[in-house]
Amino acid sequence: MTPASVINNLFTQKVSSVDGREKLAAAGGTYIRDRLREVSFIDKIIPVQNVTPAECQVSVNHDTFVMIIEVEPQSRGMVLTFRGQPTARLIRAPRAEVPFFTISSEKYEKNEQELMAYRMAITKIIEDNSVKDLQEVKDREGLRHIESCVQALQKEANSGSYTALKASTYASTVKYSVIKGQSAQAAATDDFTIYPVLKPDFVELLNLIDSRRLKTDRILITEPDWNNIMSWTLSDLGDKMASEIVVDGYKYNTVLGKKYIRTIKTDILRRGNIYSFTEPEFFGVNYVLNNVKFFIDKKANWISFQSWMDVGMGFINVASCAKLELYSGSVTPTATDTGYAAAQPVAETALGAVNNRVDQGFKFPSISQF
Amino acid sequence: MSSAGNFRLVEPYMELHRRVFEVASGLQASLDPYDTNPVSDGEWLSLDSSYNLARAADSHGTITVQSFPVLDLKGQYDVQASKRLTVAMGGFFEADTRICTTTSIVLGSPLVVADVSPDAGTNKGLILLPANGGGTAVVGWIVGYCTKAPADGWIRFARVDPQRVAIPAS
Repeated sequence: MTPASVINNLFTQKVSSVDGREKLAAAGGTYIRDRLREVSFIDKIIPVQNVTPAECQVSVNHDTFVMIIEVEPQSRGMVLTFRGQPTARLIRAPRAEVPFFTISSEKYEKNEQELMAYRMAITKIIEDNSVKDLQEVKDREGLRHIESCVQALQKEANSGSYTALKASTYASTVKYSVIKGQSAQAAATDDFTIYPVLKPDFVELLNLIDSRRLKTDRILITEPDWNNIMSWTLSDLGDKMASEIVVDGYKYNTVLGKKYIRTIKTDILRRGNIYSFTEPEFFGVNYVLNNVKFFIDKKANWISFQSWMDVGMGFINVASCAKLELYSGSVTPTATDTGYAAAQPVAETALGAVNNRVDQGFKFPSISQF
Repeated sequence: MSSAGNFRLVEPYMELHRRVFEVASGLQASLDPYDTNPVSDGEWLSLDSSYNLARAADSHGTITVQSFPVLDLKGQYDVQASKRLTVAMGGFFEADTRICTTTSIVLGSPLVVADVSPDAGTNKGLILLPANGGGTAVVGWIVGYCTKAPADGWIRFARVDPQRVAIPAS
């Protein structure tokens, strides 16, 4: 028996043991990977902090938690004459609630007989992947809230109404938290063709936050959009950088002086969307109430297992993020253009879409077992 | 001051077939407990064409699509944050509810879902199966039967597999 088969059998035996269910160490096994899995990019925008229930507030009406976050109070200075006195301010600082919710894997089930049919350590693979799966859901939720932040200030800047930001009406729309790339601005139609990011696009993106007595610190970008930087011209890169890129790619930790976070999760952060952020202390909080827990159960010959974690994220200062769109169409809520779904995170149920087409019969050479 | 809730299960909670669905965009504002018509625990919501939970239209005295009772308490922070609700999607259970209209309900009465107003606002709750559709024949769904006579605005009912019933026009 291969080690993976041993693992599956041991898994079944262990799960049946009176002492309870213990996790088994991986021991190899050959299988084809379908896709790369990546840690959370939200956790790179705002580092995670562990919190305990004792630090949270509860409601008298239900049994869920919030964390109360205090925000810096307003203050200012003034000029006085020698005989004057300053105006008074009764000190008050705003507070915000950060709610907690659960992110869970699917509940995986299998009977022990069918589990023996796998040579790979299928349960260990799912267990390992489910941690990243939880983080994908966290990223999707976080990104939706970040989008709400930028759209909220766009709405405020456009006289309190959601105003489409698209190429055909670009000049007349106030751009407070969202801008479009130069190529997208010049597009003939309002659609979702993705244009490469240009150096002036980045500069304009940085200016959005830097114009607000804040400072851009980091950028979130997809790998494909990032790769377009390597197509920047000699005048953008300089001779030394251009020749380096040809050989080694872009190997620095910053671009235009700002840190960047690259992600392959192009089903969550869709191509054509680039976000900028301040340092975390100017933006929000990212909490974990309960780290990933794993539960396994066995009833007769059926095994089920799932994992979950309890998290809370709050993007308190909505002015601390901005967005660059590399497409000409509008994704402004209630003022979208046809095809806008291509620029939005996919549905939660669509996360985990597979690359391989084995079930559809696409593998080569293709034969029939006989 | 706390509120006691509007829906109390008699059946063990862990035995229920619980599902979490995203709330339709038109209903998300009602997840705020201070909304003029907030979603309540015990309210019966239906799945729309986008597979999201929504309040189905009351057509001639009953809703004509399948619906499921909400298990989350009003104002839960996880609900407000995630814009999702938990519903009891299947299986037998017995529960007490005040999201209902108790008029003419007696022990054994068949119950359907329609507009009710236990508080300010209109929720989707349980009523006695109407005798007719007020001039229009409609198809309703019996979702349960009263197992304990109404008292103080509450009824106890047993949830059954939805039974399609033709309600005559008159």
